[in-house]
Amino acid sequence: MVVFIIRRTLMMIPVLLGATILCFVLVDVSNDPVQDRVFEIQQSTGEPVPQSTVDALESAWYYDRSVPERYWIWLTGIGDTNDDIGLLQGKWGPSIEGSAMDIGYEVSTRFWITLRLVLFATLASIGIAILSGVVSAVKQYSKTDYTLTFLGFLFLAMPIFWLGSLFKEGAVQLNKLLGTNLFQTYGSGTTGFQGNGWEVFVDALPYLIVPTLVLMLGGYAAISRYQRASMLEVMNSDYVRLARAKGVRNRTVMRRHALRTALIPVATFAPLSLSAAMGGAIVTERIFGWRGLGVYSLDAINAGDTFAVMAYLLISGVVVLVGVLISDILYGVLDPRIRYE
Amino acid sequence: MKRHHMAAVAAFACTTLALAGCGQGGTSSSSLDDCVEDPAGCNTGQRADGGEITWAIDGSWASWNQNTAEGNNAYISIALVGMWPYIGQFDPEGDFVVNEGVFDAEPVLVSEDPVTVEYTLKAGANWGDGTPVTVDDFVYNWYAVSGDEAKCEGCAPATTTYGSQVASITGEGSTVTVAYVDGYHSAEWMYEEVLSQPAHIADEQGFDWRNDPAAMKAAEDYFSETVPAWTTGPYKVEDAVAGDYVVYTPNEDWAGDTEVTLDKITFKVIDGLDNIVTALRNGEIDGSAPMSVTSEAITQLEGTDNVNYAVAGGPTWEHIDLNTRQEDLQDPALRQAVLTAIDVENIISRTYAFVQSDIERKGNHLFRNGSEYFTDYLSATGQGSGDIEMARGILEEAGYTWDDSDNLLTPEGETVELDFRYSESKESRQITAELGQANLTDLGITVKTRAIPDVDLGTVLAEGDFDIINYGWSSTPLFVGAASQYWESESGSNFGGLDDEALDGLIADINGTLDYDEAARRANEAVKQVIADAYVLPIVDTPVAVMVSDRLVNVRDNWASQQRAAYNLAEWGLIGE
Amino acid sequence: MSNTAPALDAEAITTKERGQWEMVVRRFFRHRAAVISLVVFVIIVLFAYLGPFVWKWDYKIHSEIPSWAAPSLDHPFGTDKAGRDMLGAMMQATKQSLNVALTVAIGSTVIGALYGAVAGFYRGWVDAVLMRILDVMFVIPFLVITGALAGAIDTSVRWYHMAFILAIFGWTSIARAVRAEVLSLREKEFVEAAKSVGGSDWHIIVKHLIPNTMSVIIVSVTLQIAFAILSETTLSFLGLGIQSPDTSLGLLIEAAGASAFNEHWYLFYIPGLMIILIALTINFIGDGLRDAMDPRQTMVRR
Repeated sequence: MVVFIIRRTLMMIPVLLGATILCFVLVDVSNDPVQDRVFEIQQSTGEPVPQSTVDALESAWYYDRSVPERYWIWLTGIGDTNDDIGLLQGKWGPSIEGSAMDIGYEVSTRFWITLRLVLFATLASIGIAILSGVVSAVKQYSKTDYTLTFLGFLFLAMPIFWLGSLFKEGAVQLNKLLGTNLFQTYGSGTTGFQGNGWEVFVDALPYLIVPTLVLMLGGYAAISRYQRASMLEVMNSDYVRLARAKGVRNRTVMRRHALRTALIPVATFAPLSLSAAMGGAIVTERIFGWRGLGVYSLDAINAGDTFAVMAYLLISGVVVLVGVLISDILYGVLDPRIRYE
Repeated sequence: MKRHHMAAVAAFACTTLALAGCGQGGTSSSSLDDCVEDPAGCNTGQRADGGEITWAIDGSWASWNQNTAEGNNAYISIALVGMWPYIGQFDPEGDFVVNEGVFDAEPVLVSEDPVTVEYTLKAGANWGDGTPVTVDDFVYNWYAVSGDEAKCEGCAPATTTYGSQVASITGEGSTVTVAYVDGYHSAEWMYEEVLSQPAHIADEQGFDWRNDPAAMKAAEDYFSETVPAWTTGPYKVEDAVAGDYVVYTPNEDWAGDTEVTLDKITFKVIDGLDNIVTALRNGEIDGSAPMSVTSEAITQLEGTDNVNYAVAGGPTWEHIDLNTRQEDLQDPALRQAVLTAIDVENIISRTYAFVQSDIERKGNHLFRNGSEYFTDYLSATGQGSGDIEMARGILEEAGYTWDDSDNLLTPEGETVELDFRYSESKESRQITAELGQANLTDLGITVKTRAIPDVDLGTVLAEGDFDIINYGWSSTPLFVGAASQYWESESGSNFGGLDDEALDGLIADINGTLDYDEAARRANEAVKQVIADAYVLPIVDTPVAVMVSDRLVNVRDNWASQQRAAYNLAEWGLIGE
Repeated sequence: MSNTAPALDAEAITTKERGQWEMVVRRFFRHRAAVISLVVFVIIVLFAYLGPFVWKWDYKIHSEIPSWAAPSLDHPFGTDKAGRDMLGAMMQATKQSLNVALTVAIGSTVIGALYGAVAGFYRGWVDAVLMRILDVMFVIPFLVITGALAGAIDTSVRWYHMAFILAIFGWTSIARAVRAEVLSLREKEFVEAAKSVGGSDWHIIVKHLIPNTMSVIIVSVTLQIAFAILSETTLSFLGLGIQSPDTSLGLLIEAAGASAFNEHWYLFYIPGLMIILIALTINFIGDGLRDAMDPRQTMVRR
């Protein structure tokens, strides 16, 4: 098992490197942030930008070198002039947004913000998915089954951005109707709020409810279909039939034999869906103004902030790969038929 | 100062009016409605003691240092308005009000040759920690924006127009004297930003900035990365995260005279007009003055109780430029005809008039309609009139003809094809391009409209990849630098490549006087010349909105200030009983 | 799987196949939800592609159309601020969103099927390299990479740009599925036979392997349509997708803003419901096709 994990972890490195090269080229070639910045300053000061300033910007952002050179210095930090770049030395490089924006600090704090949003939503969606999947399977071909199946398809077909806009506006209307400010529409907590863990959680609740609901509805349908199929497969299997034939009560059969086995695929699916949701939170974060990783990546792309995009890519890439790894390990642990050498 | 006084009178007037409905219930929107007649005195009222408010800013920042290229950002300049040592503010009527927390009076010109300006500091002006503002702070700012490697090595100041022209700064007590080099001759000497960060904090942090240009750079980097705990304004920063929020509490050590009533002001970044309007309707924020406005947003605001809004020309202006490097457009007659054929009033009525019903066509490139220096040289020329007959007349005279299917032919007998470029996300610019296309089709010119992705506007302009283009410039009350930036043949921002020696001469003249009125007269000469060159056609001052909860008073929009509505932050307050 | 039965004679395959397809069609028509969905989807396609020839307004701004008129007989879907008939605009937007979706479905399926078949057929180092490339694509967040590419286009983004970008990044799941199929197929006798009569590798892949993975491919084509329409509208909503002068259902929703509960509600719901309808019907059709082609995989028979 340990050997398996180590081997898989080592295999992540070339994959991540390949992804960074591809992404770096695509993002970097299509942008010229120095020129954009110069134009912005001209528009705002109404004066030409001194050449010394242009040169200083180029050297601060490493735009005084070619794309391959820039990638190399981003990776290794060899030839670093400002002591702020070099992934292998633990430095993320300068953000073109400004020096008060440290890329490493941004991605690490934003990681937790996104995780907070995604964790609740994923847990809730798995819970609902198991419930509706099991009910659907047990009452196969009933009205309930058809309704749940249809609902699943419906939420699978619903664009998150539309659902999010709808729920956000709905929350505003509900507030107005009730004369309260139960729901907040923008941000992940009261600005500058400080307190202990519980206080922060209570403060965050009005901000958390609606986006969590949106993400949850967007995510549960796929898992629920999965759960229903695996439950049906187990219910039709020989050993469940045998248990029944022996006269074990239906309830007991369901709980002891069927459900327990049928949960294996969903359990192995959970880490995958969590890591997928980390990526899928972009839209929800944008609509509800959460300062998470997804929005950071969007802004970085729009600004042509290559080093920031790289940081996001690495974090999300590691999350995805670790999700896959955990899922594979769980599969081995839970399913007695599979063994890793 | 004069304007400041007036505002106080207006405030008094409203106190008596308050009983008679100057802010009662849902009808209080009249207060911001007054901004058309009284831009500097509308929405004034008596303030209650205390209160906490949240103000949304529609963009973020990632540097705390406004001296630098990366910190030159309209949003940080709003976020730091409570503490930054600005020289002063132009009020909505274009009158200058010096920063009352730092200066005792407007700066005085003590010598013209070389230009020498004397600043008198306010008694008690300090950095929020009791340390007085001194000549050292002036020197620090000069070094930071000098653009001189011997003073600040590797620095990237956003502009060096001031810093590179200073010869020396001396001071004695509360008097500081700035002497400029011989070449400096700007009529706008009074408005130069002379202060930025506290020299004593740079000293405390161990930067030997006076003698070591590398240390000076390090000090500037320190200020870029550090949330400012110091203040010269009515408020001090209590808590802040770059690009996210700034929380202010009153600065007890402030030297200004205006009474500060609010206990806490939070500036919070909210991306996107729709999100701001929704948050305002939901009571999450108390107001905002975003950089753009749409009629959808206005519909939403109209349907919201307890929120007032006003729409007026903002700090940028829209214009249509021609590229004189384009083969056909090299001919002034064709340029003249093109600008004449475009119907500006029609464009306005189908775009900007949707959000601002009383909007006027802009008649002067450098001075706003209603400014004391404003003169309309444009209408008389017929440019922007949409008069196709007149445009055809101009062309006929220049030897142009039309073929059987009414296509315009140059004197060389070739058809004319032009492209019209606009920013893709700006609906009004798209409509402008389409209407311009229709006008020019009537003239027999084939026009193709081509959108520009938002991030590429700078590139398209710099490369001159356009024949006709619609975009915006910022419009401050300052004009001396503007003419040379827009039109001087050598300027990097003269994107259409106009090269007119006579105009260059006129632009140089603007810089040749220290008298503001005289400079304005000369600037108008340059405007006349640029109209004769048929180069740029102004459309409007782009409308923007201020939207405010009706529990706030003394909050109003201000196009003339980069800080917009926050220009008079000290006067903001909750409405009094 | 019955369609992997050995057959040396090409003619034999055809006759066999016909019988099989008949079976598939018959089974598909037994799936009620899928059939209803197919009908609805065809109506949507007709609406988008033929509607503009029938309806009196196009998607452009007309000065005689009033702003913000509520739905009526003249304008069944209402009008927007600028004076655009929303029914006409919906036809255009649906058409362009469908253009993207169909192009992506076909493009990404072709790329994915060939890629997966090549990887599965050659195995060994070819397979290893191709699969590592797939891993790389899997790691890069889809919205980020497509958004970056759309941003790199220096004129405004048209529907075919979007279709191209989504197709070259959307084929990975098909490649995996086809590869898995081919891995098992390549050991079958009919492949051996084709090899022994001197068929080239390319001939075997295109003529023998890919046709025999048709059931996988057809199902993924349908699911690809739903995936493409959701990605395209999402990117357009985020401002990273299609831009004017082209339009998209995502752009219409973005333009509607927060009007879900005010008098302009129709601007928000109609394009949203259209997206849902397309994705929903496609998913049901895909489900029906899967059941019809591979009865073993389903435990539900409706």
